[in-house]
Amino acid sequence: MKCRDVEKILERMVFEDVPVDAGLKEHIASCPVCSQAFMDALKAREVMGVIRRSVPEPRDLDEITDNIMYAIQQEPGGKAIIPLVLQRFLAAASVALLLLFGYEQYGVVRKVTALETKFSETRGESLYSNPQRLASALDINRAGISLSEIERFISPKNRARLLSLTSLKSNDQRK
Amino acid sequence: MFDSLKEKAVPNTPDGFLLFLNFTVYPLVAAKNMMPENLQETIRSIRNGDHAAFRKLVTIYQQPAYSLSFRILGNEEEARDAVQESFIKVWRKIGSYDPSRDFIPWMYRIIANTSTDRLRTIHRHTMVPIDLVSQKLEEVMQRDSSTAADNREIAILIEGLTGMLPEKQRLVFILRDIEGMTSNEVELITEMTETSVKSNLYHARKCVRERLLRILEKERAIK
Repeated sequence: MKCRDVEKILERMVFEDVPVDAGLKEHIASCPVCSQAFMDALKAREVMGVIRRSVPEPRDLDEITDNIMYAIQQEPGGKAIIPLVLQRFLAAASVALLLLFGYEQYGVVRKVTALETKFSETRGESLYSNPQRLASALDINRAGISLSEIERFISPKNRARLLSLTSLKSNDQRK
Repeated sequence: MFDSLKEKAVPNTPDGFLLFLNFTVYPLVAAKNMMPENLQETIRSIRNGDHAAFRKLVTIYQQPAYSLSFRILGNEEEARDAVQESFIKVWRKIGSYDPSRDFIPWMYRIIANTSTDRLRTIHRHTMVPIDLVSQKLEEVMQRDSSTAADNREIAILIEGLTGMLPEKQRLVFILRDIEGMTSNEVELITEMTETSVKSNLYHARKCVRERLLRILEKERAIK
């Protein structure tokens, strides 16, 4: 057995019940460093034993019980307000709603990003630099117009039609 | 499973004399009066709002609850408050407890979380000086081996050894190496994975052992 192996055993020995085998005994007898480490480990294990055996005692257990019982008598508690089955159903429904909402929001973001790209291409400016145009893009999205339709609208020929559908119209007319 | 947790409950049956003797020598007492089927019946009654059944549960488990709470908090008053708060939470949350799972780890989780939360709010992470730990240790060790340390001494020793540990490591160490729970029980109470428990325990033990060795060196130097 090497000193490194002894060190590993001693590490465990402080906290667990590790049997002292013949190999360990033999090494300890011939190595003064490990012998000292072994004695320390034994002492450390004894300390851990004292800590484990010393169970903290409350001064007045009855008083703690009475305080708890007094507190719960003021509470409606006990019975489940919502049955477990319903709790699980509500949890599942919440997750489903969250996913649905997340998917819908993802669609909105995707459409607005696409619109942003289109508007930048046609007008050479960012939608986000103009709050009114961003609002218009959201209007187009809410109106349920598909991206392919928008692409058609964006062409110079149909641009007037696009403007007539959204608040971009008033903005552009003002210009 | 959970035998070590069930054993911690205090007996209140007439046949508890031998258990009481066992309790004075070795703190983990077998709760013969709270066998699993009995416990399930008690829980059913509590879920129906039975105060007497809840009192029975409190009477049996408040001592081990106090022990755990005190070892986490290291303060008598705080531990008392934490135990009271924990049992009130048990009463409030019993409706959401899933009876297909073990009750005891569920209850211990509430006790451990309440105590840890309390520790966080009172910011009691003071480092006990090695000299003081060493002195208390010597006093305790010089006594008869069957005589346990009192609450203040326990607080100094535990705080002295675990005060420097991060929250998770400290909790895992207290549950596993001081409360004497199995790794599986620690996983269920802390809701940590097996790897996480092992890793936290490894680092905690390393720190505690180093601290212990420093204390022993100090003792040697004094002698």
